[in-house]
Amino acid sequence: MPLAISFVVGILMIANYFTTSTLLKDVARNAQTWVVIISTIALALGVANLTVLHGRNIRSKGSNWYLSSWLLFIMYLTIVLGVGLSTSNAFFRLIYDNLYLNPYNAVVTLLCFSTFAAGYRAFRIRSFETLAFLVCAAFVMLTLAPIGEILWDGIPVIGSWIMNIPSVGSMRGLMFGAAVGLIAVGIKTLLGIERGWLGRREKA
Amino acid sequence: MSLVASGKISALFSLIAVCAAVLVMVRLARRGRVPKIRRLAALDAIREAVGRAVEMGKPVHAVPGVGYLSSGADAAQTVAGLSVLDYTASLCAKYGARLISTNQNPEVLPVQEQIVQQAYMAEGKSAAYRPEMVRHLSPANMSYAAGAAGIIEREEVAANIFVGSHGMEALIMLEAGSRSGAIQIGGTATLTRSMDFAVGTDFLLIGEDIFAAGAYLSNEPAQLASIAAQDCCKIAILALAIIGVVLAVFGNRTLTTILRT
Repeated sequence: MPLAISFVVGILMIANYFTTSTLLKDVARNAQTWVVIISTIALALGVANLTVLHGRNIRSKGSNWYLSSWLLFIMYLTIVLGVGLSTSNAFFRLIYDNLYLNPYNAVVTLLCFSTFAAGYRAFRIRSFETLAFLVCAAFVMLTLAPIGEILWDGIPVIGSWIMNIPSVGSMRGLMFGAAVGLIAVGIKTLLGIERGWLGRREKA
Repeated sequence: MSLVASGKISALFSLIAVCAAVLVMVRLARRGRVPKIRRLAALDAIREAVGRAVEMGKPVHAVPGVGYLSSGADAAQTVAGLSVLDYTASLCAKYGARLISTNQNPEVLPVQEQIVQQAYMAEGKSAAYRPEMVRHLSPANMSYAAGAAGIIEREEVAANIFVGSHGMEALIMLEAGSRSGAIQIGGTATLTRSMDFAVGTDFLLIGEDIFAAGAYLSNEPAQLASIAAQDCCKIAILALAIIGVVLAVFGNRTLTTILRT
């Protein structure tokens, strides 16, 4: 049954993309609306999972149970305020902006440090490939930083060439491969060859 | 009025050609001509990573990506990630490693739970399965990253396995995994994030390698045949690109015009 449903809906969406039939377009639009509805309902599953997991932790007074209490309190408070008062309400915005957006943006800034830390670990010469990697990365970084041009006029030229020629060419090659792989996975899923997403049956 | 939308005729023929290639190779495989595919070190390393986790008494953290099952490019990567999660869960069940599978996208949550549970049941270890193995953290990317990084460091995971569609959160989780000394295996077809995995993982799957994961791990002839079909299509694309370049050098745009119809 799941395979049949995925086949029918998949063929419908493919046909919608390629044809000019208004009937197919209406059916596909309805199907896409249903996808949005089901995805929204799935949010409730996420809330339920969090409630069960953290509720169990609170009941058993597990590790950091007070943090689980805080999480559930804030989650339900935000839901109640958002649904009851509306998301443009000043009190809701106060909680949302100060308790959610600010810490969210703080985590985004961690990316800066994570990038440097990962780069530091990666830029170690162990083979010819890592040497080439380090040299190219050095040229590109100096090109993007103002100091590169000051050190030597050739650095921006070489760095720009690396970014625009071999890098773009390699990315396009990867893109072709990924696109073909994507189509193949889609076809396998529609035909029922790829069944990993369905799980499997118990061993006899 | 044409039945096929303008500008999409060549795309339709390309899709039909890829479908035909997959079907022909699958048919040949079912007749006994099963293609061999090269070793993928990252997928072979999953078994070692789980073994390491068992020896150290620490958990394995496996994520099938943060993508949707309802959006085109993400869906294929998520399907690939779920195949890897299935394999990882079955190894954890078999060898007794503790599994933690975090989730960002609630749309994928029931599928993730089912896959982990059925992997344990398939290995005859239903009693070992715990619902808290699969944990939804947050639908927001950075909130999920903060939660997952916290779990990785607090639980001191021995292995991090990230295969699927990933965003910026991957780098934060990889950094957390590195600090906790975990062996890190990852791959994504999201090209803008491939660089994060290239510098952060010990074993890497680049781009289309993740789409071969399901076939490689299951070793089913039909799936292996589809990988061979992919390679045939890539050769065809390469040939078209070379022909197009040569023609363009001589000022002939016929191929470009045909591909734009």
